Amino acid sequence: MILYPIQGTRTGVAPVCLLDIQTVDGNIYYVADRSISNIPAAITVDNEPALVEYLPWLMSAPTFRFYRSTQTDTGSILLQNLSGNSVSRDFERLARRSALEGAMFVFRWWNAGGEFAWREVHGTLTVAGVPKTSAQLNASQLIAGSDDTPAEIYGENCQLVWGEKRCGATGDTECLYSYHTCQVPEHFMGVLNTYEKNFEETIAPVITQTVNRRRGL
Amino acid sequence: MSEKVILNEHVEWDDNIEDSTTPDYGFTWNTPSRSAIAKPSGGRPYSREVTNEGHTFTLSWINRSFLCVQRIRWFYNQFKRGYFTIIDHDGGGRHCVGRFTGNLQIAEAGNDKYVIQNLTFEEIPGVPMLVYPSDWDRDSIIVGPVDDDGMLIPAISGVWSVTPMPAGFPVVLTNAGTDTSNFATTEYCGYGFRLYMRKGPNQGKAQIAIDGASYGDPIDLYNATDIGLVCVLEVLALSLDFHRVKVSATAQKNAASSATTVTYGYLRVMQ
Repeated sequence: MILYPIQGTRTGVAPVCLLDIQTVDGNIYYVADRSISNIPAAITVDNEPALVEYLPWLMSAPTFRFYRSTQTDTGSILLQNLSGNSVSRDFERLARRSALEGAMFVFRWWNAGGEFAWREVHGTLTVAGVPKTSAQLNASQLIAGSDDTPAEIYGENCQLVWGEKRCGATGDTECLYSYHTCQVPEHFMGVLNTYEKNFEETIAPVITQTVNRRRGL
Repeated sequence: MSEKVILNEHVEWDDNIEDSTTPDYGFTWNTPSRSAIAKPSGGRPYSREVTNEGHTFTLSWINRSFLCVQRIRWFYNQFKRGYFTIIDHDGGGRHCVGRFTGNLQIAEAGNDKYVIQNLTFEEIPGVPMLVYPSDWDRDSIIVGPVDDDGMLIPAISGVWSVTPMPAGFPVVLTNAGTDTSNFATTEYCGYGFRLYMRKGPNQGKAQIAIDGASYGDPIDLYNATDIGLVCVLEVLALSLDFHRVKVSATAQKNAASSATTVTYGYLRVMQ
């Protein structure tokens, strides 16, 4: 709920942009467009409430596009990319330790005076580019249209990666992902569309013994 | 052709050119910004040195002989791709290695005299010098273990605790010195440096590496009494460039020392 004053001037503390990032391997980072602490985090390690400090890394307020349809909501986030020690940058170490691709984020426009978020966006991140002084992250909503893409494709080629656990092959030579070259046929993950064509022509049974059906017993 | 060719080896009259090649006025030592800056909308600006550009000078020769301006023209043409040395005789004799850039315009001043104005000399980084800058009092800066916001400046491996010094420089980085994989590496852009470390009765030995290569034997940091931070190493012969100074623990100590502690103080970097 957004609170509006009933009377008087409509003014107050400027909103703070808060960004919680959790990488695929679990690391959590808190950044904002200003240095601010004692803020309840949106993402915590154990899902227990915690007050955390946000580092001033956001160069400006991110831009989001909300479509209100099945079209994927997208956003663009710009982080500073200069902090760090004299040898390496913080963002470089962050990206090296755990790739940001697919990291989950919760972005909030935070009313610091009222201590509530009047807008909250959830989604995943991808690194769009790292210019000299900043890092550009693209954001997309959690349930995006592209998420409906099936993990495997209906086809005659096996959908498993040779040698992986589901495949089970332990040899030295990679298969050709066809049924005929499959080394563990019971795990073949494809459609069998090769029909058996080499059946012999059926030979009608020929009576070799004469049966006289009229003969009385 | 190299830094061994000097445009103005001395300030005196040169009979060969019936003049002196030393330019009029002093050297400006214009310093380009090597830093990139990013400022979050509500935070402090972050900055980092990202280029190694050298000084530039705008030089003039007023009312010089024809032979003199022809000598300068030769330097202009000869070193389009190379570099030579120019000496700031009026500013302490500091050398600078680079070349002329921009346009060379020679104007006649009358009475068989000529004028060259606003010719740009640009220092080239990463090239050797005949004499490296050594005016530590005026031209060096301090690169400490933490910046003004308390962020570590060196890249560290192992535990380097930030501890206050009793006197002198506010904080130092202290390592037990028992694990030889522990190091603190500072990168800077400049020329040579002086390394300041603590010497005392419980200090061990530290190995220094410059730009990835070990430099000499481990430095013995032992002293019978604690004398605080002192210059333990001076390396002058480094060209203008990015340099890395690595201080590593060695797990070694002087026989008289009570521990192998290594205490990193700061660098004095020539600019």
